[in-house]
Amino acid sequence: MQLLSHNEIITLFMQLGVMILAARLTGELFRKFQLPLVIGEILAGVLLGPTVLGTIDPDMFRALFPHDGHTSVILEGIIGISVALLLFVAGMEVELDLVWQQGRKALYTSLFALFIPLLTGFIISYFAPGLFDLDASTDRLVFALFIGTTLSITALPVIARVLMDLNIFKTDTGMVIIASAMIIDILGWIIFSVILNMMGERSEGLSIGYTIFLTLLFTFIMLTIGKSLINKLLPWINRNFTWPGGVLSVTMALSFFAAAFTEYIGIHAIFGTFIIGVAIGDSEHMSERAKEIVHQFINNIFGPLFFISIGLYVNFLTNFNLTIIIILILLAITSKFAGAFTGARLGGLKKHDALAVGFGMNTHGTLEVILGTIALNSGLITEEIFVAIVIMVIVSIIISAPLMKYSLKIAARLKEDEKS
Amino acid sequence: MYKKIGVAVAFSPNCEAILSEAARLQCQFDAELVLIHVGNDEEEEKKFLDELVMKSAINTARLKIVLKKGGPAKKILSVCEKEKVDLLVAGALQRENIVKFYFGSIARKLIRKAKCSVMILINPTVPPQPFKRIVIDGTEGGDYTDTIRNGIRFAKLEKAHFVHIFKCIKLFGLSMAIAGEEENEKEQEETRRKILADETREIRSLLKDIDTKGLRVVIKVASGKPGFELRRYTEKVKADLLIVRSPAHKFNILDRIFPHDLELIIGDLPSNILIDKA
Repeated sequence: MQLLSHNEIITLFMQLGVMILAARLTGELFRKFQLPLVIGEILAGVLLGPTVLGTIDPDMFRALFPHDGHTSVILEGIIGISVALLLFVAGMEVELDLVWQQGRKALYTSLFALFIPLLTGFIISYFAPGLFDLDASTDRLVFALFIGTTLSITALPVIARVLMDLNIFKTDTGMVIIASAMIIDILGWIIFSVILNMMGERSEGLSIGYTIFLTLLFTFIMLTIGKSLINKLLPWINRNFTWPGGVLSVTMALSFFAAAFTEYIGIHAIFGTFIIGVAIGDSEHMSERAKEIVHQFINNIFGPLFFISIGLYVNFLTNFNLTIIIILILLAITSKFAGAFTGARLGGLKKHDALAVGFGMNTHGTLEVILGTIALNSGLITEEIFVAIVIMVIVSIIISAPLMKYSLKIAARLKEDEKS
Repeated sequence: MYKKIGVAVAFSPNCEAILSEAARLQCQFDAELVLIHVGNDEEEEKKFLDELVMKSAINTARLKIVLKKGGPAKKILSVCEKEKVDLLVAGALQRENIVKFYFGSIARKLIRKAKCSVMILINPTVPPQPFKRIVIDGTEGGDYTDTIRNGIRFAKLEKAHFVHIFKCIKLFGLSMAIAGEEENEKEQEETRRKILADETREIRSLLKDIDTKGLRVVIKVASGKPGFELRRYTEKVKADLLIVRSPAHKFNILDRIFPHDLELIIGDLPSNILIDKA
């Protein structure tokens, strides 16, 4: 058995301590300016990574975050676990009940808000790869699909926060937006897990048709049979084990098993944790308090580890490509708005409500960054594109609240016009 | 409230009790009654049905008996539509097993497909008893204010002892999770308290416009899955009638594969239930 050396152990613990503390400090600083913690956490990574620390004091950077050796492998493993757990929480936030209640409105909104950006992103990056400085060896089809998916996802936590701040969280419009974001989450991850498989080495990978089939089958089984089994299991655990210890260990164990299983059948591990998150979160026996504990634990310990790791391996200054950033931001905003607005109209919403939905769906968030990290690690995208995606996400988070406020003003005026 | 009441009668052990309840409701609402029976041999069944009616306290001057052949649920519903029935009463077994849950028993089919209000009685008695403890579903969505209004009206007619209005807070978990990322400990407690207080206040202000004189009204706010929590609360307060609003769309097989609100209740009825088509 290989053991860590004395120095490696010190490095590893220092890394974890520094990462969690730095993320917290910058996060809290951003909170003071009414900005989400997560932006601060990402920025902490940029400060600790090659962009700032690596440039000012390369020796210290290399001592703290060595690029080879055991610690880097272990840190990567921990970050991998963090991503999987983040997806578990993202899944738990999906409420299938709400999705059914909103029915047609949410279905149309989400389908259009998903597929129009997906198509726009796909067509533009497939036929004009020059825009993204794509080199000839990259698989253009997979790349185009990736850009499309990145544009198509809507960040549920970000939009929920904006709606709550504006006090329209529980209005009909708010519910349509939330339900649509939930549908997009599920569909987006299904699409993404298929793309991930296409990214993998072709010889080992499954065929596309087979992957799609497996992904859909896994989703369906987990949300029907899996869910009802969980529904039987949880009350038993709550009765016979200590609370909340029992339910916490069992749900964590289940999510790791799901990750192992999806990885085994050839879809990415994080898809497993996401779907089991949906199944567990949807169980009426998973109490809000238990959910809250899982949520706090993952979002405050594992979340920061991942978000800070984003900046640790990439130099944000040397890879800053303004053209790509602007193209991505423009594409993201226009295609998302067009899709969500059209969908909401077709789903039967009035013009002013559809407008609010259009702007509301316009948020990108952490899932895109996770997607980008995986694509970067598998060599599908360049560091420039990765940086552009992270910046697009940060910009969309910052502008989402003012944009929504503005759209509500227009919506109110439109409503007046419709009346008169 | 209800001008024409349809009663689905099968020749089951509790059919006598169903008829006695029907007679009571007929008197309560001063309504016309339509007895609907789906069977095979019309002559013999009619005789048996007539005997049952004679034994009950039904006002035969305002009674119509319809006999049909075919699929029970489908026929009952078509009679209801043709006769313009606005409340359909039927009996049911309390619990569905897993096979029946997917294929559907008759009473539950009626709930899922009916265009009028439906009352399912799980333990009708002779002599009939008025409902004493009523739970009304006050969770936001659809025409929930009408459900509360109708429920209170019904409770007043029944002279119920207690009326509970139960409301499930939507997305409570997500709200608190987000508060957790923005607020310190004290602010979070404040947010939690405020959410609960707001929900209670909403119901209170709604009740201001409704005449609740003589009723003891309890407002209960909770978090969790609406259907499940409602069922649990109904069991906890030992209610004898649960009033919920009817779903916005007709239920199909998808609603059963991914059960939600109403499906969670009708899979295992906590008490008698009235699905109000407000």
